[in-house]
Amino acid sequence: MALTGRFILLALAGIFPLILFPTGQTALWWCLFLAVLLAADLGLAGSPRKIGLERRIPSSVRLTEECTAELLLTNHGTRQLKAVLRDGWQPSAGAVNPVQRITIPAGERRLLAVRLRPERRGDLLAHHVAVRSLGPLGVAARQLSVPAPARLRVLPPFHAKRHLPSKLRKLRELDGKAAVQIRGAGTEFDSLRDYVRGDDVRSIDWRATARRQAVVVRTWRPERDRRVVIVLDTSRTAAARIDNEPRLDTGIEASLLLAALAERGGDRVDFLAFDRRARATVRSASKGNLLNQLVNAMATVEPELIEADWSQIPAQVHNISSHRSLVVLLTSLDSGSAEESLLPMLAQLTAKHVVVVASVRDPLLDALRAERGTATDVFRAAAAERALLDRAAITQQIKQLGAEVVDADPHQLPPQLADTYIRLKAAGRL
Amino acid sequence: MSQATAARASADNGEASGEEQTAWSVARQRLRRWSFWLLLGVLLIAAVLVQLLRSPPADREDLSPANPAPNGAMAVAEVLRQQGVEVIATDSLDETLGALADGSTLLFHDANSYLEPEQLARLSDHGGRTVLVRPGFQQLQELAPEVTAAGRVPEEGGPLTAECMTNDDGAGSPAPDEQDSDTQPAGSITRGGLGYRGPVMCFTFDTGAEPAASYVTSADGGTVVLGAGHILSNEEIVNRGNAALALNTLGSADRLVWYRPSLSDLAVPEEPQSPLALLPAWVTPVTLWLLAVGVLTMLWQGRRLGKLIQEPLPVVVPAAETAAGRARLYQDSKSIRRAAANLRAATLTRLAAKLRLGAGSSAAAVVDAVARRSNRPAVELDRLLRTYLPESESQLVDWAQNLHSLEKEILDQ
Repeated sequence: MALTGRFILLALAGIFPLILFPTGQTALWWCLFLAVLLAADLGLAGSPRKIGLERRIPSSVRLTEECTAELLLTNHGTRQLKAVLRDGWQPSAGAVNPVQRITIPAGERRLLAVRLRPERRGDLLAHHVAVRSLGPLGVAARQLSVPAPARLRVLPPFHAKRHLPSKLRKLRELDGKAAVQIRGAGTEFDSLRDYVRGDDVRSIDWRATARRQAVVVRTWRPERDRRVVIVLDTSRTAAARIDNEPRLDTGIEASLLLAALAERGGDRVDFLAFDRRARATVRSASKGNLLNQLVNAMATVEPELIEADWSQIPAQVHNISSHRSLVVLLTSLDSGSAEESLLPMLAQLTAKHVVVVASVRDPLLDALRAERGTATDVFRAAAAERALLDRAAITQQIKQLGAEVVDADPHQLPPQLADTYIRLKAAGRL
Repeated sequence: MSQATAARASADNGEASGEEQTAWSVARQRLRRWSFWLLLGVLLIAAVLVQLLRSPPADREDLSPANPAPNGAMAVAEVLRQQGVEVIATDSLDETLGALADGSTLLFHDANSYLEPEQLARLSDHGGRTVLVRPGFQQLQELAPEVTAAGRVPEEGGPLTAECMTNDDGAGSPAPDEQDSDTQPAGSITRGGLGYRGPVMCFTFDTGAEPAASYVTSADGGTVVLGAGHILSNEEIVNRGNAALALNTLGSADRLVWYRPSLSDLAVPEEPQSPLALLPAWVTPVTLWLLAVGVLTMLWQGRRLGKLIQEPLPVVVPAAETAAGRARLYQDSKSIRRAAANLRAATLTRLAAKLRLGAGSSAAAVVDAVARRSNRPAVELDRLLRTYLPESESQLVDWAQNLHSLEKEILDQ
């Protein structure tokens, strides 16, 4: 049951008879009058139990985009239903208009559109629809929370998409260009063409030139069908926020850009989200749009508050690809967690694969170390310097183990990782 | 019928509906969820009610015949009742006058002096014995004019003995037999209370001037002034001859009216007009009504539309938290050396990278290279980058700022 403002006004109107006849009896009569009105209105209100609910939810929506969740309401009762409804989406679903008034005649069906502007990645839930059915007089209402569960999958936003065109252009420039000037392993022979001025004389194919009148050069194209394995760390360090974005989300952005780029570059991309066990996997062998599969797999990945077990990674990578691959580890380079388990494992991995360790650098540390106004500031600067020195030491160790390191601010990490990929590809190291 | 099937059919289509729950089942669910608190509330209310019903407001007044506490006088009243004396406790003048029959004893104890002289005068002649317990000046004047107050009984000395003396002729002659029969069996009573002087004085004690007594009777014995009121109390009644004196004094007649004036005896002056009475009659009911409407408004506004909705909140850990924590540790433990070492190492590393000295170059090499790049003297640079050790926080701040400006100078070149 719920009261309405009209009932309060009626109750307030009781002061007029009380002023005219200031006795307890007047008050009692007015109370009786109100009680009768209340009972009548409640009795005549359409039953909220007789309402049928059906939901139509979009299968998924990208974060920062808006969508509409539709609610089909059928009045199975014999009376008209005049109601206020609240669609019970969790607050981060960002329902713009969750509370709406609706009138459904008996036996008819109406559509209620609730606009959602999700504020968080992952599965957002609605548990119930609250129905407050008003009586014909509008002084009282019957209220019920009808269970009507729903789930909206919110995909990662992929803001890094804006870097994709420029990186693709870079990648295309590799194509057919004699940029791969060193005849290293992995460069693939593409075709022969006439020599033009400016070509590297070392790429002249003398045998073909001998057969023809003109000078002929060999061209190479970048290697194709290499394997890229992206390993996203979802352990406790991924929960830390840098620039008000969890490390995990930055990692997701970076891996999406890299995956999109590598796929266009003709490579095969596998994805693994891992802490102590695999939280999400996307295999290159599977059918369908890779990017779609990736965002769907990443949507529900959350940082787990446990320590990552890096010792399992070589086996996991071997499971995915037994050939030489580019293994990208998206993790953090904090001292402590990295030294203990990441470094011992890296040697094993670099022996077989090309390894890139990508990590988000905290711009706040740089800001802290430059501030030296008071004693507190200086101590903070010293602590920030210590953190940066430790980080530099670990970076050095990783490099010594033969892996590449990409250490960049949150906004810079995706493009820099993409650049590293392009550079490795251009150098034919894949 | 057809509608019911339609409803069922649509329910089969994945349609949710509130019909799985009835109002009764919802009520039962809520009852089960709140049952503990409901039970607790009911128990509390029951306990309070029982407490209220079981104990009527207790009588805690001094020398009240209904007070069983040490300061009460229930014991003596009960013993008198057992001895066949009708003890009537009254607390208003009219009631007292009504209860007094010919020959009954009146015990008058007005510790707060509620009664006005006119009211006292109505008590003066009731045709029986009057016992005044610790009377004040005005009471003496109206009810026992021959008796005068003599202050407190001095605390030093033993119990008071039952020796009586008459004071009519100025010489202490033996008392008449009539009073002896009341006082002599007592032997002695505990010391205390107020002293009086009058025609016949028993339980006398010495004062600086004339002797005074705790028990004074008028010449005809019709009025007794009992200065030692404490002998009636439950605490003292069992000591010495207190009980004998009390019972003999109060139990001489068949009926004892124990009169302790109360507030109801206060002569109420003309009542001042209450300001509320000047208001129109509707003000009070309308105010109450508005209060009730206020409560209804709270109910209206406080009713939530549907159940509470949960939001799983993420963990919020700023990544720089560890650095901030380490900074506080440095500061709390005053690790100035360590902080300085960190700052120095970081600056040297960056300078070495800028000056292309390689990772393994020594500090001296860096100082050398810096000296060549900047126009500062090499000694000062050596001190700043290598040898200086700040001792206090202020020195640390100063040095750190210098270091930073030097670094900026070199790196910005």
